[in-house]
Amino acid sequence: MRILIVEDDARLGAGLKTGLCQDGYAADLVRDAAAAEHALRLEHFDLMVLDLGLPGRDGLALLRDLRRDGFCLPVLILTARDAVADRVEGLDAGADDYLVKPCDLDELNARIRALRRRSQGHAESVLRAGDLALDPAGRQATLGDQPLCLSPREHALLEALLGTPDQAVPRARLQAAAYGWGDEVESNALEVHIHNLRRKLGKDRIQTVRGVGYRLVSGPGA
Amino acid sequence: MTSIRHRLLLLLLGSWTTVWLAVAVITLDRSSHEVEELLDAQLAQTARVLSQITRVGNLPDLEGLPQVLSPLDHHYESKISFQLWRGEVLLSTFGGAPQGPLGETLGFSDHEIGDTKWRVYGLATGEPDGKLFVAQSYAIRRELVEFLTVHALQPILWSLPLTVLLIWFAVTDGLRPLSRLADDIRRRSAARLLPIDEAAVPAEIQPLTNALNRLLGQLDQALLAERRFASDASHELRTPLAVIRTYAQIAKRSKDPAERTEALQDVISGVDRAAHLCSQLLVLARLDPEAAESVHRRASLADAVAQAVEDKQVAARVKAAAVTDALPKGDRCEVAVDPSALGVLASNLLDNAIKYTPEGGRVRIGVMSLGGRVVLQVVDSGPGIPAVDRARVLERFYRRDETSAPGAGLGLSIVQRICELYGAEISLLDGDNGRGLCVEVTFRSPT
Repeated sequence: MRILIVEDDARLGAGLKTGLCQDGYAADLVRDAAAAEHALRLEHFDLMVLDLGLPGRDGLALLRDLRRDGFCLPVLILTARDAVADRVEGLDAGADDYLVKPCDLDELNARIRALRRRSQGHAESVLRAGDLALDPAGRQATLGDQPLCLSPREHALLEALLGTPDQAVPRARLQAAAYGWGDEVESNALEVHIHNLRRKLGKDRIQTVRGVGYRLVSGPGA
Repeated sequence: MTSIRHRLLLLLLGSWTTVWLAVAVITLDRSSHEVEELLDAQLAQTARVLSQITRVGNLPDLEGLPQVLSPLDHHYESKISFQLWRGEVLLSTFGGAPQGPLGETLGFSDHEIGDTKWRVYGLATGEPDGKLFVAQSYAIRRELVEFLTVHALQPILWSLPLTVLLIWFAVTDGLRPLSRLADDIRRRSAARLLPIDEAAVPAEIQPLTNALNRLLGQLDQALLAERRFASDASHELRTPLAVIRTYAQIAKRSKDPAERTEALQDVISGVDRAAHLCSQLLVLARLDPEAAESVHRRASLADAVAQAVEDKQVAARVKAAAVTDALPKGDRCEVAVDPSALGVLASNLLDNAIKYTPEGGRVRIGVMSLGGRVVLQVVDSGPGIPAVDRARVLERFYRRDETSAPGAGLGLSIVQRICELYGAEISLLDGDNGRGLCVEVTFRSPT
């Protein structure tokens, strides 16, 4: 899952990025509204963590512009503005959640999971496809009764595939879920991780959709 | 506690009562005098009538007189006595007149016989040696006078309590604007320091409300500054606190010792940043407008600059920046600014210049006197500030780009505030050869 952090304070931004990466997300940091818009127009992000007090264009203005232009990714506002009026304004501008600094990384993580869940239309926190289950909060995947031992990138890929079971997920989306900017990505890295996942889940659970990407098959128990 | 109402009541009642008493005494005196005159006239008239009767009629006819002269019908009719003499012979008396002669002279006279004092009118009758004395005792006359004057004074006497009551009402009503003002002030609170409507206040109280409004205004400003400080502090401290919390949590979660050490280092620098922000906010809050209004303030700009240059030696060395100062020799360049505020100003400007100057850059700080004005210039060889952004950098918490220089964003706004308080002018100009930034502050010399 790939997250865009928009935070003008370099140190806080770097800290958030590190914290989210520890939780297995691919996170990227931009420092102002223009850079954020640019990044969103070029690449896929699953969620945005947005600071309001940005230099130049304000975070709220950015959010309104994005919503007007049809961007529907979940947005979590993380700001120092704690007044009720600010919260109301932020949520009305199109934010899905609102957190006041300083916040707990675990809470931020939980809210990100909740937003992700809602955006994919799930009510349950555990993602399921047949006998395959993944709990993003506990960072635990199981096949039947057997716990799976996954690397962080494999976990991220499986989470991305489980978001829309039985549907093809584009390569770029999978790439984005596992890697942020600056991560060293070899040309066949995705294939290597998919190969490992297939080895752990069973060869037929992940199908290659030619020219598009990969599809997770619900399989038995569905 | 002195009371205006008591004072007014005392003054009004005291003066009114005094005047009233004086009027009463004069009235009493005048009316008694007039009544005496009236009675005298009556006495003379009665004498003439009697003399006529005694001349025309016979003496035995006088026996009927008592009925005529006894007070009968009107309470103002008074008892009259008389003696009729022929030579030394008392022919007749009436009305309890004494046997001794009532008088020697003709006309009006006073005569005392025994305990009784008489008012007598003597008249020669037509007969040889014939004399008629008509007399009235003073006791009776006084009774009449008293009766008359007391009746005249009674209504004025009754008016006394009524007047006291009216004065009391008038004073209370006259003081009503004061209690209204008190109510008006009572409705105010620290959160609602509106000025008092001076149009609704009587002219006598206006100096009071003027002074009060001025005080309310100052208080409002002070409270506003306090509130702004509290809100700035709580708002601006959130980001450094968020940094500290985030890195603390990263350190707690991390299993990699190197990452943990790095995160802890970030926690420490976050704490430093929060502390720096606190002290800068305090400096800003403590810039006291009262101190700026004091007449006895002067400080040497040359000394302040020299001190700041010395203080920033280490920071300059870290940056390998060359700091040069150009101070006029033998001139302390005194300016009308509080010494501690001047120190903060010089140190903040130099700090900023060193912060934004690149590694190995140059910072020049200079002071010059220009005919009654003292000018401070701080020039750096940093990136400078585009003209469009120059007004904004003086705002609180504005940071153009904190990648190159972390800070609270308060340095220049503190300088700006000091300039504002002491009537100095600050302008942001291009640095040397159009590169970098030149901050120029023009001070007034102390008078």
